[in-house]
Amino acid sequence: MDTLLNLWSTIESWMLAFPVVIYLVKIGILLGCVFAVVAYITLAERRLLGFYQSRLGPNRVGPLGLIQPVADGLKCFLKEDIVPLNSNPLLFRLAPVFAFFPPFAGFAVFTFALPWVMPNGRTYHYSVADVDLGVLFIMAISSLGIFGLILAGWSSGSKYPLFGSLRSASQMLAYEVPLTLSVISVVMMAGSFRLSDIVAAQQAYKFYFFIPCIIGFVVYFISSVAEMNRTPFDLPEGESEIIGFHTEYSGMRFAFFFVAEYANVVFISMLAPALFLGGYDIPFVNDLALYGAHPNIVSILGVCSYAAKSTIFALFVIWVRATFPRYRYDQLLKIGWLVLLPIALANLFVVAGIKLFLLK
Amino acid sequence: MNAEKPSYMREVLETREMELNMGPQHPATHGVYRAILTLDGERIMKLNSVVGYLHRGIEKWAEYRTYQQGVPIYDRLDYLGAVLNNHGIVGAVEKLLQLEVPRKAEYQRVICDELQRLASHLMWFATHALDIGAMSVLFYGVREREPIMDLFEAHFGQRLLPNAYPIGGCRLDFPKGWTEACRKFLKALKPRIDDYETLLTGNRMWRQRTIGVGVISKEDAIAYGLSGPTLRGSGVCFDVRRSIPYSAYPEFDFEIPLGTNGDVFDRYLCRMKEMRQSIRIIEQALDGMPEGDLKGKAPKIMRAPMGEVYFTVEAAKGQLGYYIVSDGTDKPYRLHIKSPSFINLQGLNRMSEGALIADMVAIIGSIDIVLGEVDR
Amino acid sequence: MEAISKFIRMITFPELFKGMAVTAKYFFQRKVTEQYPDQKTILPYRTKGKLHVDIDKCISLCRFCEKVCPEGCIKVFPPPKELAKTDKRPVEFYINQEHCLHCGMCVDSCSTGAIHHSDEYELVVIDFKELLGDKETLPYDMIKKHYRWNYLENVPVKIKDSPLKEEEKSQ
Ligand code: SF4
Ligand code: SF4
Repeated sequence: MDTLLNLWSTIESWMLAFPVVIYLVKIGILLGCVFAVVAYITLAERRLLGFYQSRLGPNRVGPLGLIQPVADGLKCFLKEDIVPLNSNPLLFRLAPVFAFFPPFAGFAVFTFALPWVMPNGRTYHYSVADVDLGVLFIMAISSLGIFGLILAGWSSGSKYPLFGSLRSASQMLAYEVPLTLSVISVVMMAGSFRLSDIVAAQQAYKFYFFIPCIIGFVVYFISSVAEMNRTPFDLPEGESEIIGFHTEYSGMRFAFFFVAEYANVVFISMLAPALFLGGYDIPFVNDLALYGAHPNIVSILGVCSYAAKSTIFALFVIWVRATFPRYRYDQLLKIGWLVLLPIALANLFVVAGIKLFLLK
Repeated sequence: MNAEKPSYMREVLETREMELNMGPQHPATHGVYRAILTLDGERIMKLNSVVGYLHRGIEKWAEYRTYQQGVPIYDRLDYLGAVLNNHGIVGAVEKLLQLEVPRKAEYQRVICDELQRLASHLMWFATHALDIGAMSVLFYGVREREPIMDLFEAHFGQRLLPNAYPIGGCRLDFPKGWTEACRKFLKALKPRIDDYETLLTGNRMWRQRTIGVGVISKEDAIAYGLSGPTLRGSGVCFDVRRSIPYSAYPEFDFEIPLGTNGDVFDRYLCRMKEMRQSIRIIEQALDGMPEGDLKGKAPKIMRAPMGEVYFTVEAAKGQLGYYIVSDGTDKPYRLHIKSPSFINLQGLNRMSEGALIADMVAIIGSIDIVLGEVDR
Repeated sequence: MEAISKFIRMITFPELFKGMAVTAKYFFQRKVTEQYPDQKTILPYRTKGKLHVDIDKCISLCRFCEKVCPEGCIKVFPPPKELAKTDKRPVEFYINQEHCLHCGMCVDSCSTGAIHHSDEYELVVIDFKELLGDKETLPYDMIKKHYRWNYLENVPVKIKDSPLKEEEKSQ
C-alpha cells in the first residue's frame, strides 16, 4: 500500500509539473467512455426497439448480441466508399467530420460527480474543463453540428439529401430557440452558467429544477427530441419520405453520421439530468453532509446516479421512438414557432416569479 | 405564381420549380411505382405517374393456358390478396360454364376470402403506418398476419400464393382442428385491433398527418372509377359483396363502413372497421357451416361455350373483375383483368393536388396499391 | 367545462401516454421471433414443398401431371408400347423445380398418387441444376424425406416411417 501511494505521489508530482498531461489523460478517459456508451446505445436501441415490437432484435453476434456494435463498425469500415460524380468532393468528404466533432466536444464541460479526494488531500474533478459559461458553450457547440448536415445535403449534388438538409436547417432554427429558452429558466434558478454550479444549486435548494421548471422540462424534452432528429421529429432523415441528408453516403462516412447522431442522443440525455434532475446528486440523501464523511463513496455513487438518470432519459427517448408516427415538415415548424416558443417564454416569467417571490 | 409576390421579392427571389423522381426505387412507393413530381419547395404542383415496371403480361399469358391452369398465376396479381384473386377467376369461369357450386364450398370460400381480406388489410395497416413513421405498428401488423398465413398453410398447403380454389368448388375440407384455431385467432385479434386504434386513431400526430390530407370528393371518386375502401372513404356506399352479390355473401349480416370526407384518415378508419366486419362474417360462416359436397361437378376438360362473361368480386383493394371472351375452346380467347389498384391509382393525381412530399407518402399508402396488380 | 377538459387533454397528452402503454405492454409479452436456422417450425401436414415422385407407382402413360402443369415443368417419358404392357414405369421423368409454382395441380390430377409434395422447403441452391429432378433424384428417400399430403384420400398415403406421423401437427 505504501509503495503504491509513493508511486502515485511521484506520478502526481510529475503531472503537476506538466498540467497538460492531466487534461490529456482526462480527455482520453472521457472519449473512451463516450465512444463505448455510443457504441452500446446503438445496440441498446436496436434491442429495445425489437422488444417493443415483439421481436428479439440483433442477438446473433456474441452473447446477447453484445459484439454487434463491433461487427457494425467493421462492416462500415470495409464497405466501399463512394463519392458521387456531381458532388463537391471536398465538402462531401468534410461534412461527416463537421457532424461528428461537436457532440464530442460538448462533453468537455460536463461534471460527472463531486471531486475525488486522494489520501494526500489533493482533489480531482470529474470534468475536463468546468468552464463558467458551460451551458452557453454547450448551446453553441450543439448548434455547430447542423453544419455537417447542411454541407452533407448540399454537397451531395442530389435532390433527396438537399431536401434533408433544408429540413434539418429549418428544424434546427425552430427548435434551438425554445430549447435555449427552457435552459435559460434553469440558469435563472441556479444563477450560474456553470454546470457544476447548477447541480450544486439543486443540492442546496434540496429540490430538483424540474419541479419549478416543469413546463421548461417538457419544452426541453420535446425540443431536444427534435434537436436529436428522432421520431416524431426525425424529418431530416425521414426514411420513408426523403431518405435523408446522408442518402449518398456509404461506408465509413455514413458511420460518422451514425455515430454523431447517437453521440447527440447521449449528449442530450446527459445534459438533461444535469439541468433538471439534479445531475450527480443522489436522490433522497443529503449529499453534502455525507460528502464530508465519505467523500469518495459519495462521488462514486454520484457517478452511478448520474448514469442512471441519463439512462432513464435515453430509454424514454427510445420508447417514444417505438411508439409515435412522424410529424410533417410544416406541422413541425408550426409547433416549434407557434407553440413551444410562446410556452418557453411564458415559462421564463413563471420561473422568474418563483425565484423572486417564493424562494427569497 | 409571381403575381402573388410583392414586387421587391420578384426581383430578388426568382424561384424555380424542381422535378423529383419518386421511385421506382423508393421505400414508400410500395413497389416499383414511379411518380415524377414537379415541386415548388416541398409542395407538389404536378404529378406524373409512370407504371409498368412490373408488367409480366399475365393477360396474354392466360390465352395460352387452360382455365384451371391460369388460377395459380392470378395469385400473383395482388400477391397480398391471392385467395381473392382466385375467387374472381374461378367465379368467372363458373359463370361461363354455368356450374353450380356446392353451398358448403361457397361457405368455405367466404371464410378464406375474409381471412385473406384481413391479412391484406393488416399488411396495408402495417406499411401505411410505417410510411407515416410509426415503426412498431409495422411489426404488429405483420405479427397478426402470421397466424392467417399459418391457417392458410394448414389448409391450402401454401402461405402466400395458395392456388386456393379449383373451378367448381373447393379441394378439401378444413383439416382437423382448423376451425377451432381460426376461432381462437379471431378472438385474439379483436382486442389487438383495439390496441392499434389506441396507438393511431386517437394519436394527435396521426390525426394531424391524415385528416384533411389527400381529399377526393364523392363525385370525383365515382368519376375516377375508384372502388373498395378508397371509394367508401369518400362516402359512396358501393361494395360488391352487397351491391352485386356473389357467393354466399347475401346470407351474412355485415355492415359497410363509410367515410365522410374522403381523406386519408377516413380511408384508414374504413379499413379498420372493415377488419371488424370481416371477423363478424367469418364467425357467422364458421357457425353456419353447412354439410354436404365440396368438390362440385366440374368437368375434367373444360370446353367453355362461346360467349363472354364478366365477374367481379370485392377484393381487398376494391372491385376486382375478370372479363373472359371464350371462342369455344378450353382456353380463353381474351382475358381482361380489371384490377382495383390500377384504377385507384388514377385518383392519386386528384388526391395529391397541393400536397407536400410527406403527404404524398401518406396518400400512396392510403390507397393501398400493390404493384403486381397495377402492372399485371 | 367541455372546453376546460379539452384544454387539459391538449396539454397533458393522455392519448400519447395510452399509446406508450400499448408498446410497453408488448415489451413484456412473449416475442414472436423464430430463430430460424436453429429452431425450425413444424410444418403442417399439407405443406406443398418440393415435389417428389414415386417412380414405381407412376403409370407414366396417363401423363396427366405433364398436361396440367401451368408452367410446363414436368416431362414424362413413358416406355414404348410393347414394354408398357408389363412395366408401366416411366423411362425418364423430369421436373424442373426451378420453375415450379408449388401449386399442387399435378398432385391433384395424378390418379395413382405417384407425384406428391414433400416438406422440403429450403430450395435455395447455388447451381440451379440441383433443382432439376430426374428419375434418380426425384424418388423420395424414405428415411430422410417424409411422405406428404396427397389430394386423393382413397390412395393410401404412407406415413408409417415418417417422424411426423401424427396428422395435423400444426394445430
Ligand atoms: S406444382 Fe404446379 S407448377 Fe409445380 S410441377 Fe406441379 S403443376 Fe407444375
Ligand atoms: S406421376 Fe401420376 S399423373 Fe404423372 S404420369 Fe405418373 S401416374 Fe400419371
